[in-house]
Amino acid sequence: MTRLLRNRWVALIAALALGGFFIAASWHKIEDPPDFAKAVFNFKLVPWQAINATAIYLPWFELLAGLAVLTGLGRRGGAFAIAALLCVFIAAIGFNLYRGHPTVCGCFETYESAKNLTPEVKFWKMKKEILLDTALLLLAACVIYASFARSREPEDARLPGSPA
Amino acid sequence: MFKAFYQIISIAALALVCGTGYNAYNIANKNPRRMDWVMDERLRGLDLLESSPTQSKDVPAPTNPAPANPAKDVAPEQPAKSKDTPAPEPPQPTGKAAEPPKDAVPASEFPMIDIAAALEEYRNETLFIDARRTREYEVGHITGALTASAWEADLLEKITKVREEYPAEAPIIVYCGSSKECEDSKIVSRQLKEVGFTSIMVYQGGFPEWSKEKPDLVTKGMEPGKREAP
Repeated sequence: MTRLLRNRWVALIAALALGGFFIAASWHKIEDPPDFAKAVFNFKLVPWQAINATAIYLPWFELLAGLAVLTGLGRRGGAFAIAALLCVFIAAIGFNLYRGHPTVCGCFETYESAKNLTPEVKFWKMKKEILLDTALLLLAACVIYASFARSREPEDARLPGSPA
Repeated sequence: MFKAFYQIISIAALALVCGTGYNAYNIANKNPRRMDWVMDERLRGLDLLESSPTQSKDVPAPTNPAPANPAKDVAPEQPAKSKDTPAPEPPQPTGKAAEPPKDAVPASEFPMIDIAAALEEYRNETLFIDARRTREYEVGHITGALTASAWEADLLEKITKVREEYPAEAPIIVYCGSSKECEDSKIVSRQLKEVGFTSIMVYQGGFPEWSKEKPDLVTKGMEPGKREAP
């Protein structure tokens, strides 16, 4: 498994997938911050003073973290940032599932497009989002591991008997 | 590890610059995407989970329903819009408390009316305000309704303009785009109350119900449209 993760092509594909996902997810939020603000408000977790700031800045943070991972310019930091965001998203959706509050994640779709769904469909989508976010979190972990593993490679290469 | 930390800080700093620049650009261009930097007190006091269907489904009917036509008995022939005439008697919905207690459930903060009452008000030229996003308003709105999106930065500007044109006692009906979650209507209603309007009602069915029941009383585009008798 660790050998697989050290493979540069596997690490590259994981980084491209993760970065691409986050760039795609940030786009509709940047395009329409008020719509994302409604989604944030509907989570009922963020204090009202912070809702607009979240809607204005979080999508850009997602976009730039995605770009950092995709391009390799700050891949490790970008992957850590994405992992932290995913943990927050999973916790927020999970908490709303726990307290029985159906909401629209706004992660990969606009709030307007999903607000009229039935609570049952919303709950189902929330569970799906948690699964997707968990999968992305694993992908972020792969990218982080690969970035550390690759940074140690020159040392390994100097060890006697290690492959060139 | 420190490298990753500096990278995260750099990403956050860049996000701050980009977000600030983008929103400042939208504000300068009066783009509907623009937002206030900090949400004002529109949301303060809206109870957590108030729109949760687990709670709201049990209270489909308004707890303090408004009369079918609060303005009818007072000035049946006078549209509320006229500025020259003296302000009509405040149409006091019988069920509406003058000053709702602070701990009141926001769902009953403003009287909720159904489509029959909304139609009655429509016939009496009551002002309708569309609390949905501007782009949704453009796609279709109740004929004659003005737009004042709860989430766009110019809400206060639009509402202040309405206040300049209408007397404080003029009945106003606010509606949004959902029959289930009408938080947008509540936010706009609060803002209307803030600027002095005293007779605010929320049309519970919202635009989905209206466009289904009365498609002939729907106008497309940014102009409110001219009302005709339903």
